[in-house]
Amino acid sequence: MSWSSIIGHERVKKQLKQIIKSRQIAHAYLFYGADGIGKSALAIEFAKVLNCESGTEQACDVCKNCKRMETLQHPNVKLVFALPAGKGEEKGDNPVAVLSESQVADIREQISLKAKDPYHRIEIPKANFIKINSVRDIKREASLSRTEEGKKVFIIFNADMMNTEAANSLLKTLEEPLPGVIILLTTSAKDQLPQTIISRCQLISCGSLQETEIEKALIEMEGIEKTIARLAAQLAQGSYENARKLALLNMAEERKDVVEFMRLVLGRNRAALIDTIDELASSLDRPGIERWLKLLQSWLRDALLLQQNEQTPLLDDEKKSICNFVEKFRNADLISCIQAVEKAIAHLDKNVYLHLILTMLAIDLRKFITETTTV
Amino acid sequence: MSSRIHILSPELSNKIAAGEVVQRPASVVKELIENSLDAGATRISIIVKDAGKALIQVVDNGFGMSEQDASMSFRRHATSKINKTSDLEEIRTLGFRGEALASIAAVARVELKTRSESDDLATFLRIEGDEEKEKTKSALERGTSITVRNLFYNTPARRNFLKHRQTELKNITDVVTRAAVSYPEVEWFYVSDDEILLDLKSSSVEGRVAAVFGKVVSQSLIKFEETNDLMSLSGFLARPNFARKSRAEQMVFMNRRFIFSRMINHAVFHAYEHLLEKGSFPFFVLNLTINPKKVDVNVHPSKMEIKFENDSNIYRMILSVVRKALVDNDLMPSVSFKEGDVLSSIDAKLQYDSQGWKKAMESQSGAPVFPIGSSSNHGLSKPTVTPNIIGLDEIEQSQSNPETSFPFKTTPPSGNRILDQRMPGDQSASQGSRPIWQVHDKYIISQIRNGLMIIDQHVAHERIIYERVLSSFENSLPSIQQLLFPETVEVSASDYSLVKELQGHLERLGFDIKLFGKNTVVIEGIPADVRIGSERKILQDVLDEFRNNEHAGISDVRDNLAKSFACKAAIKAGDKLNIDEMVVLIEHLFLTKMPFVCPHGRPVIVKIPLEELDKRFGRT
Amino acid sequence: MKFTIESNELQKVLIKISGVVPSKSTLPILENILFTLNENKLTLVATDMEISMSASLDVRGSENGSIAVPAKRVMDTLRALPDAQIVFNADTGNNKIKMITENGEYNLIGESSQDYPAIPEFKSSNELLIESSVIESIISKTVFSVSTDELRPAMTGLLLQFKEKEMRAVATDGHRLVRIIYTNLPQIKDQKDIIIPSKALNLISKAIESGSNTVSFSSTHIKFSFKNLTLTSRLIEESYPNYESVIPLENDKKLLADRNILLSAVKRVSLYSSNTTHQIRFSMKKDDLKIMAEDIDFGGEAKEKIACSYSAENIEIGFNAIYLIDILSHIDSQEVIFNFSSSVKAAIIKPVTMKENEDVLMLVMPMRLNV
Repeated sequence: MSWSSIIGHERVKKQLKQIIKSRQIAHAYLFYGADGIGKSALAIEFAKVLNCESGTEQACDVCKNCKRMETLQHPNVKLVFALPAGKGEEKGDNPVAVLSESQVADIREQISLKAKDPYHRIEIPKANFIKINSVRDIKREASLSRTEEGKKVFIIFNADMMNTEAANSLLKTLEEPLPGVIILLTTSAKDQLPQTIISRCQLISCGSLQETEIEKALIEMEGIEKTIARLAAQLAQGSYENARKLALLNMAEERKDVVEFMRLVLGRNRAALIDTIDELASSLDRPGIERWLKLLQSWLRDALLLQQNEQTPLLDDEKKSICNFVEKFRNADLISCIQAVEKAIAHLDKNVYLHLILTMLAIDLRKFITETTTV
Repeated sequence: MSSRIHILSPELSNKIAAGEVVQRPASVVKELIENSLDAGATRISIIVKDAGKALIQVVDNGFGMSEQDASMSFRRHATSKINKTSDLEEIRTLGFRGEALASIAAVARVELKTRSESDDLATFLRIEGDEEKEKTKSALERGTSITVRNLFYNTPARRNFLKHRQTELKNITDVVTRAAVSYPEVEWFYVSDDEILLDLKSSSVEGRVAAVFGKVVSQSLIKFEETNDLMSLSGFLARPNFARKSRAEQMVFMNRRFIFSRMINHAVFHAYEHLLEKGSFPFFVLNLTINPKKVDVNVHPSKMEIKFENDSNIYRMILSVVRKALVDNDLMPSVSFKEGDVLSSIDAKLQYDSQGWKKAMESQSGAPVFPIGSSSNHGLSKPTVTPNIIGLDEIEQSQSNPETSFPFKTTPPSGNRILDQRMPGDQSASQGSRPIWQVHDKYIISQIRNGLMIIDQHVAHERIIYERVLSSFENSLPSIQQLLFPETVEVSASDYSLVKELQGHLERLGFDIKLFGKNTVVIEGIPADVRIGSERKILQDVLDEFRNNEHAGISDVRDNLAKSFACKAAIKAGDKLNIDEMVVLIEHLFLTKMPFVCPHGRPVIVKIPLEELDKRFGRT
Repeated sequence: MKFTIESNELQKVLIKISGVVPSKSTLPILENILFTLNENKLTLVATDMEISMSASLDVRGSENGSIAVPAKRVMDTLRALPDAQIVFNADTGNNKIKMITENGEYNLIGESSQDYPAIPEFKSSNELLIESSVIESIISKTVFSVSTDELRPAMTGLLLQFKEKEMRAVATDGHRLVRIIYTNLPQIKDQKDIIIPSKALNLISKAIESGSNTVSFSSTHIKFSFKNLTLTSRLIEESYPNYESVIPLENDKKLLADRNILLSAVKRVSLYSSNTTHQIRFSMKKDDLKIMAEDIDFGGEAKEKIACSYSAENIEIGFNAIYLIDILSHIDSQEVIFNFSSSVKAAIIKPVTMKENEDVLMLVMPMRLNV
């Protein structure tokens, strides 16, 4: 891995390189930004460069230290993440000491997955928070002398998952920085971190990825077909992780469903519409519905673009339906339609009954598209 | 130049509820500060001695008064601020009540020195009661200096009514702090008994908040601003993670006047809903600017209580503005794809499980589905009904082996503890034979003669400490473990004065505390039953809890402190206990006067009778 | 790699170093013990990245090589085997290990020795030759008062201060403190303070062999080398609290008593102390020490009088009995001296007779008695 293999984040990369170049390294950095945009990839690369024997702002990838970072098994670099609570775990225990064999195996596997793919999200069953013992371990390890040259780096993934106890304990470590010890935290929920912790870190703000960046990465790194890549990038809300997942789903089918749904909304066959809503609500779970609604939204957005500008490039599979639609409903209030979908998504989060959301949406859409047309 | 001070017309004077403005030193300070602010002062100094009882002096560089104004200012309902009844409807200045100076003069020895821009010499007036005792001319910078000595010298009842010195001082400090936050452009200088408590340069609102509450707080603040036809609303909210355990730091200003409004507080809390843990309160500073016609500021003479013309509109606006500020700052939880997946699958599983459970239960016994069956309906109150239902002696002795029966019967407990410290291996071996178990590091279960007893370890310990502390207040004194390396703790200014106020009580509790000035407290000894390493935390926790309780209406200082300390020093749910610790806990619990209820009224022990178990298992 | 050895001999050595092997670790390689054969010398290495131990033993070697062997598996096997000769044969190409006994063959998979972390090498300009008994004595006298509060990492280890010909060992948990000064050592080159994690101390005291040992250290590591065993530990790199400043010099009230009599009296009386505070009281009058405890909650009460020599003014001081028992049990002189100044200041406890070149001082903070 190198800086160039990290998607986007040009500004952050420049900032980090500058930090290394200047050798003015703070004792703690907080990488914050949305989920799945590659914060931990940046943090890992930063840790790697900090320990690279080349001493430049670019990892050499050949030295012993870089090699060990490839498997994330560098003795100077420790990864900290949420772990399951151990049964009978006592204060000061090694955080994995009382976990079962299979749990420890899970953890190792997750680390090796993370090593292979920095966009991998470390997920361990029942790991609900970062344990106090994990933070105590940092404190202990940080206070010990170094085994080898270089910086001791601790990377705390999703630092917001620390419970209060753990956060308070970390605070002590941040308050009394030790030379040669650098703590990197990542979070997508900066505001859930105690202010006292935030204020003791240098902040590295990581923005969401551009759709074009995601699209390009999906095509180049995952070998995903362009149409899908584009769509996934559009729906991913700047998150590469989301985009990758979306790209693997069968979205072509769902997009057909969207067109079908629009057709029914605007048609006369109410019974068929109700049947379709029933089917949607029963066959998809909430995240599925949300994805489906976003597809609908993206379709409406493309329609809006086309409505405003006939030169809009469209995805192949939707071209015909969108052109027909825009042609037929010249005056459709598509902005209100998009807002209606937005509202439906919001209702989804509030646990509103699925049928109700979709029915309301159908009524709204029909109103916004047809009423303005007749005027 | 026209005279700035008018005598209010009788009609107007009557319209203002006759009230007692001067209740305590803090009210004097408040009135005088408001006068200074009204006079356009950009620098205000407040000097108090003996919490204002000996001296209150407020010096400003405002407009000052002419000789005529100065004399007039001491007459009842003289005010430079309101002329007509219609003016009262649009009160924009702070000290509109006119009666302030006169009221103060009625109960203290007051000296006034003032010079307006147009006069060459300042007027000096000495007033006692209603009389002008002295009137001379002297030199002074433009502005007004009012000195109030021997407050309530002529009303001993009132003087006796004053609270403890520290409380009164804290009230004054609160008044000054609020004014300082509301008027950041003004320079403030506040001295109490030769100790500089505030020295604030003119600054932005942010700067002032930082200067008063400390950098840490100010960095966590979210700024917000919103204006509509009704009013404009601005201020700062602290991120939920900075919530306090007490309501001490919440300030609402209306047209720059500090007010207390349950309605507004509630609106803000409501906006924070689900973002805060139960029992924590957001820190906020709220400035409302509102057309004076829409509010009735004259509800209470001390002018803290406000009546709004349209409560619900204001409530809604505050709620939505605060909520928006929180949402804009991404504080509301949002569900991402992945989380949703996991959650819904867990939900589904739980539902399934509980369904299965429900069915099994129903088909077995037809009983309603409560984990402890019928007793759970009354479960909370039941143990408190008669303390006789369970006694210590009821705990079942292990029949097979009398040697290992309930241990404190056979061996002195303290000896046991010392022994066990040396031989940790021993205790696991013997654990199985004692009829006590800890479950989920939270509850202790023990077999009693005719059933089961479940003890909540935290509240049990709370009850024990609570009574221990109360008794040490009463008679015997606690053991203080002296520390080899004293802990230096920095606290906020108000906590500092609270520590000062409570110092005597804290000492009886077992804290050996030295006040070092500059908001620094040095802990040299801690109650002997506090665990090592929590010296620093325990004091702050106790202070926060104390305020919390104070707000909840616990007025007895000792009781409050005992409750606060008990709550914070008690073992927590989640603390692992070894068998001996459990034994000691149960022993002590049954020595208390009320082993069944914790100091906050929660049940400590729940008993499940054998019949209940039999019924559950269909053994009847 | 191939060698032959008696199973119990191998087991004996493995037990010594296996204490270091972490039972679970995210670094799987650490759950192994590194076996290295050079001619007839087998060297075993275990590490948890904080402490490394190595031990060597004689075997009949037939093929040199090195492999990481799963610690638990090999230990369990050896434990289950009767005393027997074992042929240990490892293919370092595919990491397959065979242990062959007369009747059985046990196959296990090891890991490449390449992946095993090296024992840290460090440059040490400081070497000391110390008798095992001295090391044992330092550890046993100090380790009980080492702190377990992870918020103060410095105090979770044993401070060793080297200066000129002197070494000081200090441990404290903020309630009590032990300081031992050794003088007349060979000149030490650097003046240095190091803090040894308490875990290393515990491991040493278990593995220590009699005789004379080399202790070498730098600012990052310390190494104890015994005849067939070495232990290398990382150090705690934090600054130790200024303990000298809290040791009172003006404690002028002296009490002299027989240690054993005092210890057993304290133990007895403490049975009647409150089991939450363990508070006992010392009340001193001329040549008279009264030890008292009462448990208000349970109504217990105990008093004992002890012959002593005391000539200063009457004074009463409270202590946590557990701390006193700890201290008195770790002093080896027949008699002890207490030095007091007041009931809120630290009390100093010293043995009356001390070994040559050794100065032991123990300190305990009192429990304030409220009057």
